[in-house]
Amino acid sequence: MAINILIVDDSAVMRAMILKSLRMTGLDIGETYQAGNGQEGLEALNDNWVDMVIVDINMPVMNGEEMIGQMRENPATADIPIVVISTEGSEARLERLREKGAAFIHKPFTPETIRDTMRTMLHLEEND
Amino acid sequence: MKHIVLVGNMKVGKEGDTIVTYALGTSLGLIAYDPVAKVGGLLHAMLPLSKSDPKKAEANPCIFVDTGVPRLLEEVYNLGGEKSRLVVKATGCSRPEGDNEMFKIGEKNYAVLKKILWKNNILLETEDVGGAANRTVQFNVSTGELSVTS
Amino acid sequence: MTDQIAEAKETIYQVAEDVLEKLAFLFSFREEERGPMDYGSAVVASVSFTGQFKGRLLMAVSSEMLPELAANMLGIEEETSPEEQRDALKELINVICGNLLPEIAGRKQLFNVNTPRILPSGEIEAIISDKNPAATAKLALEEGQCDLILYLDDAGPGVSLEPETPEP
Repeated sequence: MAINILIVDDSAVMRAMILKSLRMTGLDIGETYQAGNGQEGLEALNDNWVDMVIVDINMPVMNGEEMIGQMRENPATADIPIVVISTEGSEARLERLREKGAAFIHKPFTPETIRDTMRTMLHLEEND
Repeated sequence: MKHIVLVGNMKVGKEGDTIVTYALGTSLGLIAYDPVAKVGGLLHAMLPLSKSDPKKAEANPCIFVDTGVPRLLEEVYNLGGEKSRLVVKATGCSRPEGDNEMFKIGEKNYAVLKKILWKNNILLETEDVGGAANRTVQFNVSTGELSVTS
Repeated sequence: MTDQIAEAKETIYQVAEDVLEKLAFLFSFREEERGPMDYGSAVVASVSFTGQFKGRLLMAVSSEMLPELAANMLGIEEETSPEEQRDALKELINVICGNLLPEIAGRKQLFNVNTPRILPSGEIEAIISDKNPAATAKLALEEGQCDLILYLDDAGPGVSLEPETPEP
């Protein structure tokens, strides 16, 4: 089944790099949506069926941590798998994100890391 | 049949073939394989960029990563390999200690490989790169099995 | 303080070399001996940050390197637009800054990195002549140069560049 993905990052180049990596994974990617900050991300979630959210931390208007917090409080979005892709180095913040069930990919990333993380999150075997 | 790949060279093969290369140090060893068509190849490229010696690159593109990798892919496609099924694995690119840091050939070979793969939408299935080892690589085209020893 | 500044400079070099290679597939070499770049023929990005210490990082890249930088990051052969090129540089400085601060301050510190922007030329001169940088890293790229300049705001009491000592 195709998965719909929302990418939230304030850099259009970074969103393009993430999207390109996702398309390289060979996974069945359905619709993809993009947003430039957490606020826009929540609006996109409201308007569309999304199976997975990929989100940065440092963004203007609303940062990723706040967006994830609001997602988890809303029953409609509470269970959507989340991958944080960020340069974040603070242990405390990473721990808070893990507690909210988010997976973490450090920037700069390789497309292979994105594939491996997606495989783990979707519970796919190595050779699928 | 057993093929031996010398430095700055490549070989492709089909079911029943084994392709081997020795003394892979800072050079890149790259295999590309189609498990359905059972065809594949092994490249042993020495230097990162062909612009350092364009004449040499024209005579033998496999010396350089930036000309050797496209050549390897092309030959595998010519044997019936399909891009959508391609399995690509990297090895070599070692970083021997005491080497002149300025050159960092192994690291640069790896970086050029990653750039070419990124531009061509190809992911590495596995990699065994870096370290100080000289590696020997055996690639069984029938099974796709890759054995790397040092 | 000299030791800490030397350490910060070394950290900038390591982080910048790593990010340039992984994110933009560019190889860089240190050019400690040369003078600063000619910022008139460069594109300069700036990113400010707050946290254990406040300040900003500037990154100048030779204008002629920008198309390759953007094309490498996007993984395309086609020409990139000036907007994509500026956006690529902004993302590059963002990733360098985001990796740099925890390397300098330790992973227990929380930093907020603001949105990067491209500086107009008048502003570059104003910043450079206004105060002395905490550390500068000078790199050679394949066909150009890159300078990274770290500025720290006047530190309050108990705030220094010194890396945090791990808790017992």
